[in-house]
Amino acid sequence: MYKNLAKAITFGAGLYYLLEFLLPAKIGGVANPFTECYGTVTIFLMVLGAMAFFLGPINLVRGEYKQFISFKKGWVESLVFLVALVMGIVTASFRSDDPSTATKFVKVMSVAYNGLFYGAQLGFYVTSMGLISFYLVSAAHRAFLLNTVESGLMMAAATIVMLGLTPAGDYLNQVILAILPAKLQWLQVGTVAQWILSTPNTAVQKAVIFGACGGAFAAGMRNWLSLERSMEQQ
Amino acid sequence: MKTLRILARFYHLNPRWLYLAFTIVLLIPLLVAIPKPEFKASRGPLGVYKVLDGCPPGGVILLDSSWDLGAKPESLSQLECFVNDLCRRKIKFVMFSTVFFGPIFAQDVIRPIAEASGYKYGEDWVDLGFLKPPNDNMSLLLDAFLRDIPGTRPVDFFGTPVKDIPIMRRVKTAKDFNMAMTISYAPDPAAWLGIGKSQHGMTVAFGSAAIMAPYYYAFLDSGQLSGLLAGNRGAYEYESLTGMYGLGSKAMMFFAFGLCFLIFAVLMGNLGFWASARLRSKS
Repeated sequence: MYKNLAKAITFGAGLYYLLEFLLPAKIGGVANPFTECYGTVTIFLMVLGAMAFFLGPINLVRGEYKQFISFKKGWVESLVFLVALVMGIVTASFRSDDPSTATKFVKVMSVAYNGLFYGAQLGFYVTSMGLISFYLVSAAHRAFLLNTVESGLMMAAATIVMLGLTPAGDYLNQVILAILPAKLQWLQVGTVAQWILSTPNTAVQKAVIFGACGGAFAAGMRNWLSLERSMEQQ
Repeated sequence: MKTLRILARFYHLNPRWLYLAFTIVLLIPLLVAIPKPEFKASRGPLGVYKVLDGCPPGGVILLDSSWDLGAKPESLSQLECFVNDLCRRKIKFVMFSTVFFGPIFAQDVIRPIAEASGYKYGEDWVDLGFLKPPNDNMSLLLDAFLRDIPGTRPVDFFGTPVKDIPIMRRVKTAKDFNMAMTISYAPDPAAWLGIGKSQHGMTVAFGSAAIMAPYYYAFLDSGQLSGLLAGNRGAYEYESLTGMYGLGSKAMMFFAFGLCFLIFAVLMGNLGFWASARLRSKS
């Protein structure tokens, strides 16, 4: 019963968007009713999405709380998570952007919120992002090996594009312009980099997009008609 | 043989030495003033510039600034150079974000530029704040938003009803905008080109991270995308077109040194790998 109801709702929702898109704005002088309520349907979806927002935090809290209570490995991290969550919710709920009307408590909450968000969270985020660049250097050194013709081609293309996208390539261009004869001056790093991006790259990207769109269409049809295995297994 | 042994050491180099060398290389542009080389702006930034050339003073641009800390190193300079140009040309703009912290980051950039240019909030620009795409589907949000802006977003970032905001009395649907510019790590072409361009006839340009830009060249090539700012290079080229140099040109030098070091690391790794293989085959 529930399975069929879920299937019917899924099909009806998909049919709504299909009909709204395919039918003209006016049918025999009458406005398309699907288009009329399009805004309301979108707001309904936004509200539905906002409800689902709590699923993630609730699941996280349940998992971390269990870990902390039973003192399993990593319970300290779970405690840090729970404390940060409570502090985040409390400070965000009571803070104010207008210090002129704020009470002492609200001012303290605002300072704590700024410390947590701008001081801690953003700091950790920036650090982790910065560390990625170091990891990239290490990965480039150890993993990007020219074992095959394909990897050699990729390396050559990557080097030209990287140089072409930086002022280093522009400096090289000036040298190339000074050395090469007029007939070969198209060999500038920037020109070759742009050619790589707009010719072979575009062809490959278009092929990937066609393939991805075909896959998305097939996946969409399977979802719409409730043919996905997860739905069948329920 | 001795040379091979020395080269083979490169492959087994402790990564900490690489990290130290990388840090030193990144410090060079900070310590040494490096002159800007001559170059021609590529068609991506030129496209954005030409679209704004065709936009009259007082025209309105839809600006989607959907980035936070993760994309800040590239998106910040793009937003800065674009808003600088808008304010120089006296073009108004309506901003929104599909990233939760997006409006806060964008306001930090926009507000000082707007105030310095004499722009008044509500009259010359407005921030509609965070808009949550239903089920993370940008197409659904954009379709509803571009058909009925006050219906989809009845208040601005500060909670002021849009009917009380002067600039919002002028813009109700997609046809009221001269152009749409979206700046994020990876703008959604299915939404902006499929809905904004194809269904509503908007002129669309993107500002994306450099690593994502190759994907968008296909749309630039087809003419669906009117312009593209690819990473810091895009901002740098755009600044050269407007003559208003800012973060793009500053960040570009660090970017150049970082990428050159990356190429050096790849070459060093491969040289070491080759030398190790030769040593093994000889022994």
